[in-house]
Amino acid sequence: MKALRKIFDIFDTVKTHGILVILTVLVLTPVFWIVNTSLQEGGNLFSGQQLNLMGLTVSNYRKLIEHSDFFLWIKNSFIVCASSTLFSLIFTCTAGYAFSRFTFPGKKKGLMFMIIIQMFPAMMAMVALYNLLDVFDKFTGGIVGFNLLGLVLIYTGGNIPFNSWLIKGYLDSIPRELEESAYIDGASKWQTFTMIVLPLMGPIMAVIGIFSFIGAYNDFLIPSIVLQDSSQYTLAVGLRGFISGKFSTEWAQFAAASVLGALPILIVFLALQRFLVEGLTKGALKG
Amino acid sequence: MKEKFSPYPYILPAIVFVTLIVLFPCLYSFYLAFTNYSLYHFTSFSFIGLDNFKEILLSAELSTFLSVLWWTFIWASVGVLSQVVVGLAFALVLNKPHLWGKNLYRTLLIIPWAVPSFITVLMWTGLLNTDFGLINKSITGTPILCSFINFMINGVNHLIEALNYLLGIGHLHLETFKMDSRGFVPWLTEGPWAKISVLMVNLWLGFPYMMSISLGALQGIPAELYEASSLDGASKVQQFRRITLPMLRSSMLPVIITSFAFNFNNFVGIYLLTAGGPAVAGSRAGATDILVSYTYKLAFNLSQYGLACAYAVLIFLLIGSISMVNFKLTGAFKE
Repeated sequence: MKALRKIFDIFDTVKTHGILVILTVLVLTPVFWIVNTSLQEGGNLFSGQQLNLMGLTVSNYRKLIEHSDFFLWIKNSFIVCASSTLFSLIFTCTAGYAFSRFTFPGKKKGLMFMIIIQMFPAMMAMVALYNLLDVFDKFTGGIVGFNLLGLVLIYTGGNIPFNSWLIKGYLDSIPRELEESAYIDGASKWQTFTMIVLPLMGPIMAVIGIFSFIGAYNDFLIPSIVLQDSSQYTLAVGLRGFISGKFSTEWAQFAAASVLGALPILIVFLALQRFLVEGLTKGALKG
Repeated sequence: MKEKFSPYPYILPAIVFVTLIVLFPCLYSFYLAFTNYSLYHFTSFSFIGLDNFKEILLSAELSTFLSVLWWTFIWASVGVLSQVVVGLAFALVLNKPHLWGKNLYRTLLIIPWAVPSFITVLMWTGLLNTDFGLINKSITGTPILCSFINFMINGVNHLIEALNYLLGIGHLHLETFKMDSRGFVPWLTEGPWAKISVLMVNLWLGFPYMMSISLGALQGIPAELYEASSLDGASKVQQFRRITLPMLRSSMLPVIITSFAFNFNNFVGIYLLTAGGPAVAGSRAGATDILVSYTYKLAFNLSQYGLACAYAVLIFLLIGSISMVNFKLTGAFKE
């Protein structure tokens, strides 16, 4: 009886693994395909498809690096993502702190305003944002306008409402005793904030920071409207150019650029997945 | 704590930014919805009251609006439900105790979510290409798969024809699935197929998120519940229906509603794959255009800014009501 039980257990394990392996392979086939295309000689869909282990080549990567603006796009993407993440973190941390630790007239209304405003679809504001950038463009002589700085401005502003809520919620769950003892020792509000509260906010800042960064990196819509000069393209806008041309579809280069462009985000995501999912679930539940 | 400090220096930068970048553009779009701002009235547009809304709701445009709205709801709800079902199924398999390699499977399965979606969606346009995409090549290269697909298509088409016959109303006519002349599946170039394609890609993109959320939620269910119920002789199915589903409900429902709202406005998922196409005769909206992609088209391809803003206002009203339901359910407004 016991032996029979064991055989059933083994059978069950084999079955589970069988199902999981088949499903995983099925799910990842597109990813294999793009990696394979990037490593095969040839510039279109016809040749990129046979898996030819002997013919693996990095020529597509070389072509990408030598003949396209790939690194410029990556650089632009990183400038936009890093600066908008940094700015929005600065503004949301201070705002979230104030919403959590001070009582002041208009606090509840301010919080309501923050959550209602983030229900507005970004789409709705597109036309107006376009005009706003136009005004900035004329006002600053083209420094802030239809360029990377304009993008940074839009992302920074767009991130603030929701993230302030998240930070407020996080700080609410942290006891105030530490801050109070710091006041008694004679610390000013700003000293308490920078020396006691900010270090405590590390985990939530990391989650928000990573998601803001990835969100900006992944966005296609806003840069496709805002960026008008090809020297300002971010990766999302630049990459599309490889395959949107009717007569010059460069699948092999697109594939190489996809692999290189996805790697940094993929690594960060996979390394921090536990942490990110947890932060996301909590964020989602808090609304 | 005695308030001898002012909070305003801490909030002011955030308020300034939000007012300038979020509030002002929203209000301005609201205003534009009541103007005739378009290519013909580019510099000298004027207030025209409710005319844009009248055009959407009371003219020939109404049938476009209704069909786009209908497809937007299908897209958002079928999209999210399929992600939840598949994500939960994966999570249930992965949640088995003592499963070897659990973390490896989870990491691999999360990849579609972790790769930037502008890359994966563009990649799918290649895979789904009618003439040389991997999907059609695999189908035509595998006779069994080919006849299976044909069999399924015939079945579905008979069902659709029966439905059309039963409903019998002209404008509710559902399209059947057709192959092109060579027997290839026109994934992105025929209306019904394009709808299937965007839903399929959306499922592929989104199920890892739901799987991750479900895994977290499943771990929150106390194991004693299962032990006690199996002592009482409950079957696996009974346990799933009576313990797992109700326990998941509270943590999954807000996520599902949020995802629905997200998908409702999921521009990239549509635009990069089909750009809202293929074109539909007698309509400015394509077969897979959802409200936001159609709004985008109106504003940035057809320069109908005023009309686009009117659409945006309607989208806001719809999304606003969905969000209010969400807040009610999650109690976000409670202090």
